[in-house]
Amino acid sequence: MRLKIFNTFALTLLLSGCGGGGSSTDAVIDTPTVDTPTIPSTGSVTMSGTVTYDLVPSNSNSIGLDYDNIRREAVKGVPIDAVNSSNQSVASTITDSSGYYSFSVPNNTQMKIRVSAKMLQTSTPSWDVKVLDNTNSNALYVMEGALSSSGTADSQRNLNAASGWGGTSYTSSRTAAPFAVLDNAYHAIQKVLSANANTVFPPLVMNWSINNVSVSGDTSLGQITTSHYSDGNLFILGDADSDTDEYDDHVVTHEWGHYYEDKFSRSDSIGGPHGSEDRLEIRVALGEGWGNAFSGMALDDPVYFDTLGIAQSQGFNFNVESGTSDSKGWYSESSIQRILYDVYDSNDDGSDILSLGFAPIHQVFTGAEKTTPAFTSIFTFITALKDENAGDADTIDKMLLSENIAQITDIYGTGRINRASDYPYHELTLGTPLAIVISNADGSYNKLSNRQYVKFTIASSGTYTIKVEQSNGTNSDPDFYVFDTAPFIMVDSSDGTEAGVEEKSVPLAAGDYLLDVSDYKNVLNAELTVTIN
Amino acid sequence: MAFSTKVEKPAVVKGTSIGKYAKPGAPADISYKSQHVKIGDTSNVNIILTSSSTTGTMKVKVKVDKDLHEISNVKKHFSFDLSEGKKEYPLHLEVSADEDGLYYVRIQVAIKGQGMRAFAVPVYVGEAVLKTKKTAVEKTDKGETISVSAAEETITKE
Repeated sequence: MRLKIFNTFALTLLLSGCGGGGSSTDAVIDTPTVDTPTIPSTGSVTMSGTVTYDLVPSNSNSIGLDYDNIRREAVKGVPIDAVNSSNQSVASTITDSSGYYSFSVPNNTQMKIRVSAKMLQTSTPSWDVKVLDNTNSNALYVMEGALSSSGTADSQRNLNAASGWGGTSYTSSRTAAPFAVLDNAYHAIQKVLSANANTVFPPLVMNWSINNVSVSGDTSLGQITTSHYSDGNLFILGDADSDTDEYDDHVVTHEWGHYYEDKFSRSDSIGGPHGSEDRLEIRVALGEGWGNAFSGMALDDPVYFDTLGIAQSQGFNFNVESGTSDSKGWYSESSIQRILYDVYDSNDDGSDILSLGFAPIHQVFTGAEKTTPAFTSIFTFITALKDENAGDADTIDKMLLSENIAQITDIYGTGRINRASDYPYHELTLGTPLAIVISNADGSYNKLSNRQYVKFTIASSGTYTIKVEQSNGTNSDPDFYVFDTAPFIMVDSSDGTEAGVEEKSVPLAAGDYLLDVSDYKNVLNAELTVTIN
Repeated sequence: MAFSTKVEKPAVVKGTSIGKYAKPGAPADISYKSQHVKIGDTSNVNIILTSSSTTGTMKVKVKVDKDLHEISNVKKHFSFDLSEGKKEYPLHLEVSADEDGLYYVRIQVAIKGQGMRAFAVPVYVGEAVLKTKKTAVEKTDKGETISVSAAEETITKE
């Protein structure tokens, strides 16, 4: 016997939740008990099935979503519960990589299948990922089948999460979206496990909602700025007809790459807007280039796409392997993503004859990159990669050259040729003034010429006065941040509002330090003198 | 279905994307101010778009929530030439609404070869109640809060 059941039970729950028309959004309702004739359970039967979700792919040109070619994709590695009419789980298991599940359940018992949008494994390797509605009591997304008797014989219950697409717009629940978001974490975890099968993944919450919109504010209202990672949380846009990201798998995986940096490696990135042709501050360039490259690695698809607009019909894309840019260099996220992806992939093209796979990249990010005394950048990454893969150093240098990056020989990138005047590192001797220039020539906040880094050494512990003063006027507003390099941590900062000068006395222990100097007012050319006494 | 959430009611809503994390896309930022007004009153919405790009064209699309009335006649599609000398691109809208609510003006920008980016500007009217679709939540037997959607299900019995 084969019958298709529309799950009217869950629909009834939704309607009853809205029926009161009250103002509270956070009410938690109890699952009602359904009165059904109960036949005493005297044995068990096997219940099995496959769980899928509607995956909406991008169009063949990677611009916009293709709702005409929705396909069913396995829901992998998630908990399945058989839930009886008293809301008790009577059996549970985990779907495999094909979305298949099977468990023994009491016979002749009313039950429904519940599929949770989370992945949890407590034994090594371990992970804990869940998809929550940040605008609705941080509730875990689940989908459920209908209450139906388990009967007296084995049976199959296949469940699919529908996209909710009605032809020209979303017209019903977007049930598939949380499972689509979660699937990206599955692929990312698999990629990391390919390099270290015993990885312990710190908990990750993936926050997705149809209310998640592109404005900063209260995340419980969906004002998440944009899809981004922050402190163990991914926030993913769901604003239909403007910007949704649940099917933009590279966008979600890019953000997962920032989770990876945060939890497994170290990123000194200051964030901020960035684009493929930007000349970026070096920490941002590595972080964003890594995110783009990792999305290609984890999905084994070098074409990054992001869909936007009415009916998700527009968008843009770039190829992390074969793309080109007019602003190649050590400050370009585009250059960095191509280098990282070329180190990884097995497809030789041009100067890319390297196919190291993911493990050496993982080794650098989880090893040398975590403790490097320099700011994280392409300089620190390549230096460690060459140290750990000495036989490939020449090939790596050739790949760098193809992106207008001269040979990298140390973690500070000494010896820049391309845009050498914007090379950010300087050495300061205590008591001796150091002249630097901050500029808005490449944009503001996080661009190449916005920041300069000063290396200095403290021989003996004490209180030192750090002063940054403009020498060509007072129209700037200098700020600085002080970093101890072993272990690497920001130990102090000064961001006052006095025109043209910033000064602070800072207690410092003996050791090597970095000073990150910027100009809040972002004037064209602020000539600054740095002194430490 | 609409549930309501009380939100804070600033007299003037200000915001910016500058310095905030941004996913890959067009090198563009937004800063805005919008007035919190009474039902039927006009809210002036001032938007400034900026870009670090100094060449090419920024194409802009504006979409106003359907329940937000436009007092001024605003072009929905237009473009700016990006240049070294001009780094700010202002927009001004006048809108009103017949009901309390938190509404949005949505902006989409595109720079050829450098991607696209979406922004939203909030407009608060009256009691500034956010109307949004939500699913009622439940508790599992283990106490976990869940948001339940119906699956498409096929049951086969042997």
